[in-house]
Amino acid sequence: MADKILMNKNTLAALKIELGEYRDALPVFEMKEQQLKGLVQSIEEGIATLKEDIQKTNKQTRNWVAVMAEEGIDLSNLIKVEEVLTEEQEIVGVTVKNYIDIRFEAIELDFFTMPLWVDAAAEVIKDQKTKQTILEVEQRKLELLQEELAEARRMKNALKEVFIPETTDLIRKIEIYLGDVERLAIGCAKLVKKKKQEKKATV
Amino acid sequence: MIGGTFEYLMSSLPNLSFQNTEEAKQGVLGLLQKYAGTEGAEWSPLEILDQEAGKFLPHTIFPLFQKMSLSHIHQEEFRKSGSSVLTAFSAFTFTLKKDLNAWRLSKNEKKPAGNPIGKIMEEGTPLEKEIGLMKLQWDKLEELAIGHFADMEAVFVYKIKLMILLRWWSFNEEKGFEKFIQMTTNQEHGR
Repeated sequence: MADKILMNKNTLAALKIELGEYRDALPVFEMKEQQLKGLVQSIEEGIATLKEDIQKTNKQTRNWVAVMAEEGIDLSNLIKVEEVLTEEQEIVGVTVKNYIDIRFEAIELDFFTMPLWVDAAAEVIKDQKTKQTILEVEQRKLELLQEELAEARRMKNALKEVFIPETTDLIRKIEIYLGDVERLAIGCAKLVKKKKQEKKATV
Repeated sequence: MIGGTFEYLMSSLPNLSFQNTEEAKQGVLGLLQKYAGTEGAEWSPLEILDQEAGKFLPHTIFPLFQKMSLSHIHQEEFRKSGSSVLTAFSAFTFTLKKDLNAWRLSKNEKKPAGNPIGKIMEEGTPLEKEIGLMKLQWDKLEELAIGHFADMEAVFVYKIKLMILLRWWSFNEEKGFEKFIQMTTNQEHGR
């Protein structure tokens, strides 16, 4: 808002239009905030469940994970992510990525030289990698939505706490000022008329 | 180590039993390390054994002895070796791996009754299954070792037993879990 305001009818009209726009925009941002809050909450819950699931699997695997310390077996060569498939989606004006699938390279194990535990390890590692990938996608989505939520909240608060009250106040001040000017003008006109009448009477 | 015949060699080697306790582990590894002395401070237990056994085994058979590894012992060169124990154990492992192979290919199908690995595969964690399989190999070695106390065959049995124990002793929960977490969280891995 400008520092120096012209106290005239044009400004008053412009400010009234502005105030109308602010009042129209406020429910939009309030609704956006509500929608984003709901979404953020459900994603946060999903992430918490996913993290719990990862921890649970880690705990279960710990019972037999000692075998993975066996020397000479490089699991990173046996389990390779080929691609992670995601799709873009627009949610409340934010473009986010949704997880679709994860594909692992098809690496054939030599059952004669690879110990039996490698099968179970490959399975659980693929499972955990999938969960970790979903977690990363969801966390990125959450970040974007949280940013948008903060922006919507800032806008709502700015409208509610600053723009609307300030504009309302300015309108009131200009209206008072213009009223005073009008009354002054009427007073002056009356005075001039009175003076003219007195002059006429004297003559 | 005492020089001389296989008898001397076998009697000077630490006793091996199928157990994974710190005491048993330190007993075997500590004694082998003592034999190696300062010269062999960097050697692995298998290298120490090879070094000692090399003094007694025939030159024709020693390279095969040195080459033995649990992951490849099923191979033809071991099934056709000059050692009766190694040949029998290699054939046993080959059959075991073939059975395992079939089981791994059809995990969800019920195993035919009487299969030696059937019981091991039925339940338990992968760690318990590995121990079960090693016990199966150990028992086979015990059976093959009957009548061989201080000959070349006994040295072969000893090395295979030591390989089994070293494999078992290499299983470590902390190290394994570290590897597992690295594999599942480090996205640079295999991406």
